[in-house]
Amino acid sequence: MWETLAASFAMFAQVDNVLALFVGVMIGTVIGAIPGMTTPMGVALALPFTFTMQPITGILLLLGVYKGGLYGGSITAILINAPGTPAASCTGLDGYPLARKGEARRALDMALYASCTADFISNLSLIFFAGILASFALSFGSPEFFTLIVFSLTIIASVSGDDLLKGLGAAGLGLALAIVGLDAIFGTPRFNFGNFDLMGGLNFIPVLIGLFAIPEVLNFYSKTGTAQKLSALAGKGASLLDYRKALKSILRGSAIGVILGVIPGIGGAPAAFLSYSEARRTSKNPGNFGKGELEGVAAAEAGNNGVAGATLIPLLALGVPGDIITAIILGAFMIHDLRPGPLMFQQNITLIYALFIGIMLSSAYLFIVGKLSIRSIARIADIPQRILFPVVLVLCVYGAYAINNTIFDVLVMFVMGIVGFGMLRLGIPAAPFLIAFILGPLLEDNFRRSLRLGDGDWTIFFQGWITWFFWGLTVLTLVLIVWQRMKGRSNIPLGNGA
Amino acid sequence: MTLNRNIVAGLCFLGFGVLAVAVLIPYGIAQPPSVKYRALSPSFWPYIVCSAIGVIGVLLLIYELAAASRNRNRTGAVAAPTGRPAWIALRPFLVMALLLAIYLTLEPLGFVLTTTLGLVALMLLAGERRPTIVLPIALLLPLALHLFFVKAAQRPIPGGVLDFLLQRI
Repeated sequence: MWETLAASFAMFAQVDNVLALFVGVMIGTVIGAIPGMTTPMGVALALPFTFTMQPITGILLLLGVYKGGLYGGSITAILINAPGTPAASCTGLDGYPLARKGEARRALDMALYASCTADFISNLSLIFFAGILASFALSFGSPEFFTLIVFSLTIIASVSGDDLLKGLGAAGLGLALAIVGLDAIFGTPRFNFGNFDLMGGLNFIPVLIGLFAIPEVLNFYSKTGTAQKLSALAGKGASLLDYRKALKSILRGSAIGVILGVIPGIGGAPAAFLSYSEARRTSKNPGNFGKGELEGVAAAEAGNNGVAGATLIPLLALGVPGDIITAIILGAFMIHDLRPGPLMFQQNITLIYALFIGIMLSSAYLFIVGKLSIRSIARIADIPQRILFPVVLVLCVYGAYAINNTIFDVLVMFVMGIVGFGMLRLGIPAAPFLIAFILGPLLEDNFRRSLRLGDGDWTIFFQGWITWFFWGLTVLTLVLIVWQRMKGRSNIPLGNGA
Repeated sequence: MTLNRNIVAGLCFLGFGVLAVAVLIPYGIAQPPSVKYRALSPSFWPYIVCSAIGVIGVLLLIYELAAASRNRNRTGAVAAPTGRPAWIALRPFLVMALLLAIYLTLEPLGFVLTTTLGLVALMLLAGERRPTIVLPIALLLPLALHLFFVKAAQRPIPGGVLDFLLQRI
């Protein structure tokens, strides 16, 4: 055991490895911060550079990009409400209002601290619980997925702000928009109307940018007094007391991220929103969420980064990629004639341990790079809005196009921006729309697959303890939501969006 | 009755629900020849979702009308800012028109030229009049973004009429 550990440390402790990991985190942070540049895109772009590297060096570089990208998405979400990743849109719910109040530095600091803590916990879980959690994840079939997503959708109540009905309506619109494309079972077109560009459905990044960034730009143009500046970065950073106050939400969010991260296909966005929802539900000040609550930033980032290490559990333990990023990383393993899975734990345990050491170090690198980036990238908060918003718009145009190299995505972004502006003016929250849009295809696919599996028998949704567990959680959450609203704890009546 | 923004939202939800159930789903979703169970049909889920949107619209209208009858002076009417110059109210629509123009010219003119002109227009509309600020940003930012996406991210950004120049960089 100790000999293996020593050999692993010797394998890791090369200048190339340490540098590759650092550079990876740095690249990932920058890519995550650019709207339109996604983390999978960053990992994919870095992949060719790993071909000539040692296996461990190349894989560490990709892991660095992955982890940096998860955090980087929060920077622009907080500063200009243009999230770099879907999960970061949750961070922006409270991060952006904090920035508007002149507390951008505090929000960025908290996002970083929560990210590093969650990343560290997620890495520990990877090391200690890889085997156990991977076998749990394998027991998920379509009915279990369906009930999990139904439970995840209860978070819509939490992110609906002052008006539950409008939030539900927005979620319905998100689900409706997710229908566009080809039917997953029959392959027949739905809401395409003969348009070839709509065959593959709508890409979520242009929709995301359109919903969150463009309405802010349009809203800026509808106001007088254009000379005002965004919150300056001169505000004080997050204190130790802030961190301690949010620690409970950070730990809870990390646990949520680990559990959801280990389930293939879930990703960081549901984890971030679920963590945020739980933080709001248990908070003494739930009414502050969505208006600039620091704990909301911490919870969202903890959920988002909690998945980072956990998604590697099914990859390393079973050779099953949990999402598109781990699929690319699996490709990197295979390029180097390595096949992750149980056999790798027997034949290449030194490499596995060396990766674990590198992964632990990545949390520290994330902290260093994050601190550096807050000081440099965050200076955009000092730019006057009359310059910043036109620049953001142009950045969004390039970002939307670069996803799929299609001008159609730019149109989707503009249309969603105008829809989002209308929603903003009518007090309809955008977050439920986005959550439903992301989770919609998963929900419908697993619903129909389950019914096909059960030969049309609806009782399939109540078979096995996992489905009952999630139904129970769903009912419990709904009861709590109704109870809280009736009690008026959060002072949020059912239809008060005025 | 005051045109409350909740009523407008309710009407929008209801309108979308009715439009989808009556027109979009019947004409926009192709049905396979045979479906074993109704729930497996490609239109089953859309019907549920769009009907629910319509119902939410109705609920919102009922709630708001009931609230309005309880308190006719209730806040929440469509915001009509007073003392705001008319052209300020028009600015978002001018920007929307500009977005359409940008979309239409991105491919023929190219990203660099279109976004350069777009940046100038957007900054002038936003109130930035200093040429020493507007021109450098409008000229350098699109070029920098073009180079980043083409050279570093390997994305084929259309060069348009400036393609011959951009390829030499």
